[in-house]
Amino acid sequence: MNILHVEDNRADSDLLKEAFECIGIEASVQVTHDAKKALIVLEEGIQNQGETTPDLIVLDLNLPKMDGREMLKRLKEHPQLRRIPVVILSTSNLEQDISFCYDNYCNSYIVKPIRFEEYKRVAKNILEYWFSTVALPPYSSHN
Amino acid sequence: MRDSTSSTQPVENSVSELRRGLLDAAVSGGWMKKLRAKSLYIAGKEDLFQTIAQVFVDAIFSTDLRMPRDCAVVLCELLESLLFESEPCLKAITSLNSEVCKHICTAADLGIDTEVLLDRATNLMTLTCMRIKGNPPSQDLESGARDALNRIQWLLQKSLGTTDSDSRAPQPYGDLSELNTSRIILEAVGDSLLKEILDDGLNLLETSAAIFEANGDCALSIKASKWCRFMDERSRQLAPGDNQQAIDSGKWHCNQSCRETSMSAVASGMPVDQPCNGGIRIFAVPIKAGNDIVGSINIGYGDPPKDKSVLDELAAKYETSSEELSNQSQKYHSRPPFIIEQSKKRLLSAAHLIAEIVERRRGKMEIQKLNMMLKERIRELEPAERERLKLADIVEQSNDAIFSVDLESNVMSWNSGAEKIYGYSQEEILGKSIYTITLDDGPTPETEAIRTMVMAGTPPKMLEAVHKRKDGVEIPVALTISCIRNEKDKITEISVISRDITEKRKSEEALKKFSRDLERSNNELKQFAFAAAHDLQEPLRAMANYSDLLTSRYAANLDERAVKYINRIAESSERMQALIQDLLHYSRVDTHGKPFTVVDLEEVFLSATKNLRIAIEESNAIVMASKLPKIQADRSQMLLLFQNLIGNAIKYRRKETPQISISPTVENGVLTLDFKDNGIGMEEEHFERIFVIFQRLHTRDEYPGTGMGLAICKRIVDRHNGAIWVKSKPGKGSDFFVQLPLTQNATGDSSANEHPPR
Repeated sequence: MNILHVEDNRADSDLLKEAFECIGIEASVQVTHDAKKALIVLEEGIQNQGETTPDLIVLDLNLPKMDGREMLKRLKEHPQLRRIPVVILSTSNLEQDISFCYDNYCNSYIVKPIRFEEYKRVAKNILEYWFSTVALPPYSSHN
Repeated sequence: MRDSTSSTQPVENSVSELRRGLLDAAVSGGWMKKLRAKSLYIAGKEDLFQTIAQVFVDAIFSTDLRMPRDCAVVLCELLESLLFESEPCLKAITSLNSEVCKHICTAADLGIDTEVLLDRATNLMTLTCMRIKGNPPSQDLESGARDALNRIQWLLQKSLGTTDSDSRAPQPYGDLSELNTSRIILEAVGDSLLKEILDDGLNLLETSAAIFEANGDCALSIKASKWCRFMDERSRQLAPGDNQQAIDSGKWHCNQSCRETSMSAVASGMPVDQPCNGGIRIFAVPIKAGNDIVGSINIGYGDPPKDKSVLDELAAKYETSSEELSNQSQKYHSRPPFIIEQSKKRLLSAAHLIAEIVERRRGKMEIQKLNMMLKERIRELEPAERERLKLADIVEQSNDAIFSVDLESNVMSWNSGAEKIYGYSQEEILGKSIYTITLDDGPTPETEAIRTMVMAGTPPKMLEAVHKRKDGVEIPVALTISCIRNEKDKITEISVISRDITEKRKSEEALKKFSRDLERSNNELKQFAFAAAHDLQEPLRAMANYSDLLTSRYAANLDERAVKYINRIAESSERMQALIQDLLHYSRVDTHGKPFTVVDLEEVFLSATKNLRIAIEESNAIVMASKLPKIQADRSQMLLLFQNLIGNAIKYRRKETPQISISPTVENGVLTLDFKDNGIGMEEEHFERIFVIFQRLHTRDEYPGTGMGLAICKRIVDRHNGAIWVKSKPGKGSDFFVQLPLTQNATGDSSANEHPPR
């Protein structure tokens, strides 16, 4: 269970980690604040037989340098990286943001909860759904 | 004179010399002897005598000289002496008799005192007769001389203006001018003057005189006296019926002759001289007024016939006796030829006179007609002229500069507005180049382009330029340019209306600045909204979450009060975040609205109840709606409206099961939705307040909320050009009415286009 959390706000990235911890499920959450860097790392990972490629990307929308929306587009346009499920976790509940993300093939869109109880529920749902319920593709560059 | 015996040339020289001598003598009065000597010198030359006698007669009666009476007497004596000295020339001098008479008559006509001359002339004739008797008298000569003397006698007795009364008396058959249908001459000259003209003719000849219009009608009755009058009346008696019938019958011989002769003159345009039915002759002349022959005047002349056979013929024609005619004929005094000639000349003069009067009258009438037309035209022009003056006044009074330039770009007109705007007076600028007021001192590519357009007849409708005032200050102006064309549609001048738009420019710039400021502040507001949506919520969310995290992680180390405080922080953060959310919703109604599309409210209702599923389930509420129509609207805002109203109805419920119904009515293209609930209701005093932002009727403990829901609803309805209001009683439930037009007109909402969704 490798998760890449692209989030520039330390408070937010910590909250998700805390939530995972609280529900007592082991998950490897890699946090990066820089979407541009993250894309480079992901591409390198794919070159290396996908060994370091995450099983899931949790992506914030409002990021410095490269916007989360831009990163989503790049990911979904990429021949290999587009297989990785992307869960948007954003403060925005704007209809146009939600529509944009789905139009660009995000796999789910979650508005950041305001209370920690909710956060825990979201974390639990993510793990249960993406790591117990669904079947994910392999991430090797040769298939 | 020495060699003047045979050839003509010397004789004529002698005659002219003699004539000159006589005239000199007449003038000086003291040349008698010399004169006698001269005349004796040529006496005896028989072939010259008649000529000499003629000269003497001419000299005696010369109208040019108006010679003193004594002079004339001397000349007569001279003539007498000549007569005795040149016996063989008697015949010649006799034949001069009529010449003498003619001269006397002319002199009389001219008012010259002819008494002495007549005496002398009579003596001359008598002497001639005596001489003739003394010598073997010739019968012819004697009767000729007697005849001449008789005529002179008659002339002496006759005085002007005493023609027989019969010619002045009206004819018994009435006035022929009543039949005059043309009346051109009659009306132009007038009855009395025409009569005078005719009388004048009759005075000399005592025959007939008549004037005819061009159509053959008598201008007025034919005048006749003596023989003519007798014959005219006689022939009228022969003709039947009224005068017109008599004329038409052809039996009114005298009338017919007069008419026919005059009509010949009218037809030919020349004088006509021909015999008449009545046995004498008629001389007729056309009356030519300008290029038109408007009629003819004629006069009868000659002695009535004396020959028996002719009289018999006439008697038969006029159905009267020869004796009667002979009697009438003898009553007529024969006129000497020169009187007849004179009468004919007078007739010509009379015709000219009449023609002149007709012509002048025609001219006068033409002038009157033109005058009338002119007056009419003036009447027509007066309003136009007033209008022109009014327009000229408007031009002059206008605050705009109105001026014109000719094709050489020189200023041709300059109103007072132009003086005010540009500072140049009329005197200063008229005739000067228009480039006086432009920034450049001559034509530029721009001005030439405009000029080309103007000359092509398509001047630019409106253009703005910068001009230079007399004081050098540059002023922005709006120009209206048009072409002035002459009557041949050729462009002769260019008219310019120039308006000083300094103030307009200032206000335009102020408006632009205001608009820029507004746009900037709007953008700042949007930035703020964006920041509020994301950046402001982030820390609040973090605060709430970490407060929760603190209480759950460190519950063991916290007492009850600490947990309570930390919860307060979390709750406050949460509420703040909700407020921001609602504020955003509120502001986005206008700034992030979507274009109106056809929205099925049935579907909106279902979506709203789906979104409110948890609240509905928790409260066991019954939410129903009648069949809802489709309207033009912003779907997401309709959804928000339904959610807020249904959500409110559930939230402000009483203990019993909430029942919410939505019923639509459509009238005149307007949909009214009644959101009816059985909730807590409210006092009437709150009906307005509840739609105002942040207004709450209840404490947060009673009913949580931001107080924004209904304010957002109102804003949504406003954007849809609708209305929202409430009817309610405390404890009796509420009716929220929403009114929305079924269709939105194109200009109804503009925010959607200005702020398309991101």
